Amino acid sequence: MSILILGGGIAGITAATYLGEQGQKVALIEREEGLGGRLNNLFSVYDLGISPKDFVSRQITKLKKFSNVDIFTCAELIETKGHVGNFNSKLKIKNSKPVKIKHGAIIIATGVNVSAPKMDCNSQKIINHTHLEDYISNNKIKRLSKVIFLCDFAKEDSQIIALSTLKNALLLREKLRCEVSVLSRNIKVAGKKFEQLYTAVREKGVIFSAVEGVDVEGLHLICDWLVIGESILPDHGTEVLSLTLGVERDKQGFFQNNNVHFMPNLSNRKGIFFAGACHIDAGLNDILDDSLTAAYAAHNLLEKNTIEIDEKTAEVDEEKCALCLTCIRSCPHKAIDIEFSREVGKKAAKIVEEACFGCGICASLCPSRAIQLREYEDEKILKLIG
Amino acid sequence: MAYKPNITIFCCENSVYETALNVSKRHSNIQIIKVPCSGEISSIHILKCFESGRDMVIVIACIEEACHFINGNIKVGKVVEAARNRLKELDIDDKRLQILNFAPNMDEKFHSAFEDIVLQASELGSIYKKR
Repeated sequence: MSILILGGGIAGITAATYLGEQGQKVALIEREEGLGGRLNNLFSVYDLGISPKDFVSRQITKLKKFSNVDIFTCAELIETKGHVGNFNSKLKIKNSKPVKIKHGAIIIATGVNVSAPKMDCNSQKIINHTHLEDYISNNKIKRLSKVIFLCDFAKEDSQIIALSTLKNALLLREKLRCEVSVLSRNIKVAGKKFEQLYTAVREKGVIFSAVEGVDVEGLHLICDWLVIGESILPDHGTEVLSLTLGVERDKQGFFQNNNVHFMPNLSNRKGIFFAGACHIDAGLNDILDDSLTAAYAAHNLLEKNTIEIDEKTAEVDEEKCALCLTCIRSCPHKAIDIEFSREVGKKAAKIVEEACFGCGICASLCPSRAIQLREYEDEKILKLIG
Repeated sequence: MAYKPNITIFCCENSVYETALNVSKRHSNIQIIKVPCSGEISSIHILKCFESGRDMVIVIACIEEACHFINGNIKVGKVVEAARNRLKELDIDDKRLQILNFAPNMDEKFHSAFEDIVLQASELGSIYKKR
């Protein structure tokens, strides 16, 4: 297997399809019984033309045609050893024996968790987006005269909620011709087709009211339904996965993408990429683009069947290594292993060259000065100092 | 005439390196050493600077959460603190060792910080001067 893709939502499916088309061997791992993820539960996506469920079904059918793509459902990643170009992973599969897979790269596409906020009051009139999708798709809506959406109200809302607000506002206005209002501080229309959607919503006569500077304590709202957005949280497997794979998360617990020096799909480890909602906050169109970018990056890495080694890597003098494990604990890229060295007859730290980023942190912290960073050796720097 | 201090600046190549390099080219008493990450700097390098007669050592690291290697800019904080303790033991003013954090686009802030540093170093005087 060349590439392991974690997550069978639209991001994972899109990446797997691209890689399948390129002739790469792919293993797609999905925790649930079926593929499709959150798109299976959405009634509509703006400007998609077909239902999200049909859309994702088509993609799944297309994907299943590739003989070089293996799909594992009810499966979870337990362990990954090795480094870029040479990973070894173990999967746990429900009602089946564990499976071991060799692969050169990993794409993490595990998505997000949509979590309904806890409500202090028990009103039938206060609903969230998931409820709304459910009512609309099951035709449970009778007559409504007024619906109010709260968006970006108490706290900054995710783009997913903002898009859902606009899309559903448009739907309610078109279907039921009731009065629809959106109360918000900001609607940020940064995203593919987002501005187009906002314009369509305004043209249909949805009322937007800004709440900046308004005293919201004791605000009295008269409506049939008050729609509140859910919280978008990291998928519940994210913490364990970040430990299993040694990848970083940001302060909110999502996979790290807010580092100005990193290309968005790259992680702190060579050969491990991110795709989709697990690392960016965006609607379907941007998720599709993002997944293709991740797939392309992975394909580019493994296309030539060789992994390029940077010249500026660090090297351990095994003689001096005391196995204190400082370097292993401080390497941000998990690029150091322990190996038995024949030359000196003992175990010592070993820098995995293809995984090394050349930062020199290990070299700096090694108490015995056993690690030298090429082109920044102690001798060279001390000579410069004079 | 004010004392002209000898300063070595260790500069992370992802921080304001280009700007710092240009500034150092204009002053013969300022030395810039490029490092791939501020986390690469070891206390040995810092202390050797003082041993070789530098009056001031500045470490330039990336701003918080902007380290290309996740947290090298945090790790160097501990290295600098260890070096500072050595300086205290040697009765050397630990203001001679400082960390500054810059993003690559913070040119102006770097220039004003640099002037401030030179002034401080000038006032502290030669490292060989008895306290």
